[in-house]
Amino acid sequence: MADWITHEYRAGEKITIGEKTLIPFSHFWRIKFPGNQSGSVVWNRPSSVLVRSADGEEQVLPIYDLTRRVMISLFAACLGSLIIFGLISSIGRKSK
Amino acid sequence: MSEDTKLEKKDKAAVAVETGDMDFVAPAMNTFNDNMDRFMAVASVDAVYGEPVEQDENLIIPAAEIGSAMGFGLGGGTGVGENQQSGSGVGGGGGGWNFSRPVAVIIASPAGVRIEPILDVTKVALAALTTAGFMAGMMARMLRPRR
Repeated sequence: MADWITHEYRAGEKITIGEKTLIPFSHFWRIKFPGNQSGSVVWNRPSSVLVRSADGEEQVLPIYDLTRRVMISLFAACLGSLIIFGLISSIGRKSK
Repeated sequence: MSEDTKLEKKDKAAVAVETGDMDFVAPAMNTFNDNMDRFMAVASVDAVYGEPVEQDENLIIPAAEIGSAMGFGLGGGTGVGENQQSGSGVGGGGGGWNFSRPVAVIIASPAGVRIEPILDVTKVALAALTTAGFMAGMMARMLRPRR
């Protein structure tokens, strides 16, 4: 990956509850501005949690961003509806 | 002041800014470094996951998305006035923006670990209204008879 962009998964500190150990992971992005001056954009979001049982069994629980998914679905539905509506109206015009 | 001396002073300021000569650019650089440290704290995993809260036998860990943007610029120079008085200066400026939004809550209990996503109803409602307005406008435009 290019120098100006950093993308990695980072592990947090272990959290122990009873016989279970939780390790949280985050998904980190950094984009550096070009040129000599300093500056960058950082985006950090929770990605998953690794659950380790006392018997050594491991389970990865992904973290979904429900708000973002709903919004993307909304915008996709809007775009899809507009395309279909546009096609139907143009076919209607041609048939007249 | 001779042309050579003027150039020498100008070069000194330029080199100080480029090399980070602390005597020359200390105040601006300190502010810059402090802000950069705060900015980089966003990158840590601890910034995303909140402090675990214990309630009865459950452990609740809030998780949030964090974004930040920051830019800085630094410059310096020298000059000679009409009465041959010389001066120099260094200045800098910057700006930033950050946001944080809750994404999910991790609930760990003796029965198991589960993740409860958080739905930001206000944000979704605002997006739905904007989308509906856009769609209505576009549909009205498509239905308008062409000349």
